[in-house]
Amino acid sequence: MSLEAPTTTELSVDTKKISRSKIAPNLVFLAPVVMMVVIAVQIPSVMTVTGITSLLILAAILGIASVGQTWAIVTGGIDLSIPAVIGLACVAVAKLTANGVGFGAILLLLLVLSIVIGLVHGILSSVLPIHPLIITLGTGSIITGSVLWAAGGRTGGVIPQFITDAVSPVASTGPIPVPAVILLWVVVAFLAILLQNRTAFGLQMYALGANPTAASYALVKPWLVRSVVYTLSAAFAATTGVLLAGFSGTASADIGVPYMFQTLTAVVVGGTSLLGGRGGYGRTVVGVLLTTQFTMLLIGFGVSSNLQQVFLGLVILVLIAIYGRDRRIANRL
Amino acid sequence: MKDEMRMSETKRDDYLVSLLVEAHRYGNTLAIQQCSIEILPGEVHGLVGENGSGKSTIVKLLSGIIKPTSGSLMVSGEELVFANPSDAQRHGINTVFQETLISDGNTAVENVFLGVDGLFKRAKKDSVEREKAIEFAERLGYDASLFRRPLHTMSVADRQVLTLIRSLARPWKLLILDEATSALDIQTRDRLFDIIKEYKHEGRSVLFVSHRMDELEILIDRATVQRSGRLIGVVDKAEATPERLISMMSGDLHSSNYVHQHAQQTEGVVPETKVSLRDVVLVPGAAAFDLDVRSGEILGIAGLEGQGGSSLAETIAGVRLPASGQVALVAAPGGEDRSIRSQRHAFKHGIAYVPAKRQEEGLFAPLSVAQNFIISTIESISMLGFFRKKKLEAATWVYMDKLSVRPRDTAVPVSQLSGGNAQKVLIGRWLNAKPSVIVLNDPLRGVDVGTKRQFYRLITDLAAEGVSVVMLSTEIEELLLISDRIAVCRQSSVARVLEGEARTQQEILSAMFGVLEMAADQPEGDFA
Amino acid sequence: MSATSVETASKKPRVQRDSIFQTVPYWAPAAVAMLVLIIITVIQDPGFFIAGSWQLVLLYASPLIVLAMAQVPVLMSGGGGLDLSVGPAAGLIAAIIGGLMMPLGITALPVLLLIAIGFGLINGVLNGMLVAFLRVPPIIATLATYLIYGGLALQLLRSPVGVNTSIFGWFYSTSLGIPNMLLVIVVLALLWGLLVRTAYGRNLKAVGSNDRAAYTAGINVTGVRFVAYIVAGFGTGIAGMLLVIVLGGADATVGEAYTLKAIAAAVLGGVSLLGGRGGVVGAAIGGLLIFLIQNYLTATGAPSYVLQIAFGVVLIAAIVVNGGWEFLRTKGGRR
Repeated sequence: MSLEAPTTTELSVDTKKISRSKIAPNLVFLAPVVMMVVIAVQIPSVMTVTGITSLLILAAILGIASVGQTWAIVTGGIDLSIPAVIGLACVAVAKLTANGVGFGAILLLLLVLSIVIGLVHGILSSVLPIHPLIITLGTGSIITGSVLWAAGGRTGGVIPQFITDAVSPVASTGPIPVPAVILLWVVVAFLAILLQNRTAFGLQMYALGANPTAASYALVKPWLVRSVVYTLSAAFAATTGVLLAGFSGTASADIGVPYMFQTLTAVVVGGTSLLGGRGGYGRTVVGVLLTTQFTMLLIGFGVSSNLQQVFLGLVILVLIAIYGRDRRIANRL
Repeated sequence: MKDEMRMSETKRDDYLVSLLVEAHRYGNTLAIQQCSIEILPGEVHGLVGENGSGKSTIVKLLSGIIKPTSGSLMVSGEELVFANPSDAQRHGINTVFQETLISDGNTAVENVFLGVDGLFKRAKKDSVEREKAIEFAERLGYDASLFRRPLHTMSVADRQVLTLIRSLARPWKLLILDEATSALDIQTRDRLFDIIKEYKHEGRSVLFVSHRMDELEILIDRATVQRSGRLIGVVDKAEATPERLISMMSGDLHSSNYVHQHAQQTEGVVPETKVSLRDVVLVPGAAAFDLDVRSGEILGIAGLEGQGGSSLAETIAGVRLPASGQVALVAAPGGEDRSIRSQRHAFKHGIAYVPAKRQEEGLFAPLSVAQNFIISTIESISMLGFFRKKKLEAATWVYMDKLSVRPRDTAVPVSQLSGGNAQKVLIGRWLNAKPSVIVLNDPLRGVDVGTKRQFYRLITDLAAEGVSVVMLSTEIEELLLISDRIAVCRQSSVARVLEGEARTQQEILSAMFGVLEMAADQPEGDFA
Repeated sequence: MSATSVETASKKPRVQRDSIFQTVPYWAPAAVAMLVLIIITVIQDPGFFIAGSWQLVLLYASPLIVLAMAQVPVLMSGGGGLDLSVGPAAGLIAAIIGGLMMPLGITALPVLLLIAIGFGLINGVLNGMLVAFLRVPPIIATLATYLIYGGLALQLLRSPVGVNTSIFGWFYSTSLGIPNMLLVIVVLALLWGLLVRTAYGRNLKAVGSNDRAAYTAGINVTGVRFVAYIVAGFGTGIAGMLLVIVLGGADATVGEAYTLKAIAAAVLGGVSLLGGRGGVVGAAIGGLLIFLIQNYLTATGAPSYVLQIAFGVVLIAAIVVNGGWEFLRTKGGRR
């Protein structure tokens, strides 16, 4: 834990001077590098190509699942339906492939379903004065139930070989000697950051999260922005589900369950504020890397999975206590 | 000035409250330095200064919201440090803030006595509380019915009355009124002033923070003037003329005598009607009225709080639709007039709306100045949905320069700007759409005198370019100063439209209060 | 002369008819839904009341009901108040009681109850300090404690254990035909009633509705929020004990599933996620409602996925109804 200290102080410096310095905001991106050095020193045995590739694969899967969570939180909401959509995609791939449906058709189906889910979330949370927390919790339950229903209780099936290869630490992508999932994450991260920082949609997303009332006066359409955010969130969750099918070699509707809190943790550790309108996917990338690295460090120390969870909780508390605290009431007057 | 401070230090015990601040910082920003305020028992003390002069910092220090970075506070000769507002109240300092701080989850009576109790222990019985609340309500011209109404039906004025009673009904030696009169109607305000005078004779003190020179003139015994976070001086009643106060506040000698040149500028241009309101009823049951918004004019909207002024502004801009009647975009000759369906629809046809409360309805606090500026016109710099940072910067700087926004940095969060500068960003947002009609809902509330002058210039320039400006203001002098016509609202309708020679303070006031109408209505009423 | 005319114009409130929506309590829709479900249940199982199966339903529903009630003070305290940790905390406490204390030979019910409440209070103090004093956003603070408690419970109790349930006999029986579990819940509701009759009730509403107004008016906002989490902790302790009683043993994995159900139950019962509005009666009804749905579907032999779909549908239907209800109560105040 003491080795965590340098990372966290950098993060705290970062948020305080964010408006004044052009360098400070970028310090946060050094944290995973520092963490990597810590891992290298503490458990040198992990520092093999396979070891690092495995770490990056785990990070990539979590990273892709966290795009939507980040944006849902930026708009002042949250997406608790991510695990359900992951399960949906995972089962859909296995079942439909077993039934001879082509992969392209499966992706198209998942895209359509994502749009439906996104529209339901976006419209319901805009029409009703209700936090997306409850809405996505409800739809998540409906989705998981429907998947089990449609699968008739047997969720297994056939996973296409290329998906398994995409998430295998020893595979390569054509001539590039890294598994496809890592490249996919790089592309997703690039596009996500471009979308949030350089488009009207991105700006409206931040505006909506920062001040919903002002956003509607500024002619932002809250339902549209939210619908797009939750559609993308569902689409990325579905992508994660497909990847996880390959990773685990089998399909199950509850394969996404750990991702409810893992995506939240990654977003929070990265420093995106739950108050809305602040933060972004760049920070989440850092959060994803840090949490994955931290888990690996704990595994390297032989910490049981139960205690890993405990340590993860403690790290969240320490990080947030340092840089993610709410303002005093006096400062809001 | 230094002498003054040293002199006062020798007899600090004589003051009811004496606050000396060497410096107070928010983070790295220095808010005030070398400021002091000393209030005698039994006086009404004015605290005057433009926005950003540090008045609100002084109020927050006195009411226990913040502690000075370095400085000292003495109350009745005792050196104190307030940990929180309840500490300040315990020492007899009660504050009414400009913002109406009401809890909608509680009843009206509970709102009056919030914070009097301990965490668990009730201080007074329900019946005692009720009686006391009614007593003060009656003194302010209300009655017990105020406490029977659900809070969500209450106007801003009613809510402000509750916070006033909150401060009056618990023990106090110093009452701070921080722009607390701005939401009140004139009758209630006058009653409040009477109450203040009574208390003054009992030896209690009031710190009166206001922009309103007329109010200050009536009420205060002495005034402390601040500018740019520093103490400028303390003046007695005799010296505290509006001219003197304004010159002390703004640091130069020009008073608010702004020359209205707009009429000459637009001579020769034939005004055409841009928006026409026909048989419009703002809320069910209100009287119908007609009104035209013409090109190149400044149409002022006047009226007491809750009398439909804000609704009228919103209706012109399509933010709300009238209960009945037509609000139409007037087309070029030969074209067909179209009803305004929504704010978005109005905006597409050149009507921009700048909302009333800039923090709540206008700005995005954590976003940068550039982002706040471009949000509604982002398409203008986008290609296939994407925009370049360079274009954003260029578009922003046009208005940064035109409106002289300070600080000269488009990347700072808009929350770090002063009220006046934030308002400039907000108006810039809509000017960038090049509207033919711009509706400004009370844009100058809480804006300093210097910025106001810039705004008057800006608005008259806009009108000279042929833009119709519709502006609601709560200050009659301001409307008289800049507008060509003034629509006076009463009972959710337009009572009168004054133009030319008819635009006098007297006419506006009588229209606001319905004096003429009442006389005129009389025979008709008998007839029916 | 002009003064009087203004007074009539601006001060006479618009005629306010006290509509039915403003006098009926906030939990009315949930209560109606519960009645409907009870009727459906009775139609499906005519012996529901006579054969005493309703007592079993109540017994099994009790941990969820109590956790939903525990969620109320934190939700009401506003500022995004929410306790995600209630499930794992109850699970951890159950593991401590059933997996640690009882095997150690501590079998006196009052002692076990005290231990459970004690740990519940510690949990409340911890969450309360994080949220109220350190100002960590509640969802994050309690997410962290969620992970910590869940991990600790599993570490403490690798596999489920059974305990000697003979000492819990009272909880399984009835007094004068009333199941004792109902008494437990009623007593908890009464305790809450006593608490909100003190100044704390209005302080909590004020802090939840507008913490800035509460603060400037002199309310100790930090204290009010701190106490809210401690009260929740108290409920969590009781729920942990009830888990042992209901399951007749301890299982470290059962707690987590309760968190979201408890929040859902509170929302079903009309407690506002935005703070300021609600009460434990509504939350208890919401908890029972969720359990009744589960019970009915299980009894009719519906597969588990139907349960999940039903849970989601009911939750969304409930918020739609509550949203509409609130709209009617305030006659649709402006945006």
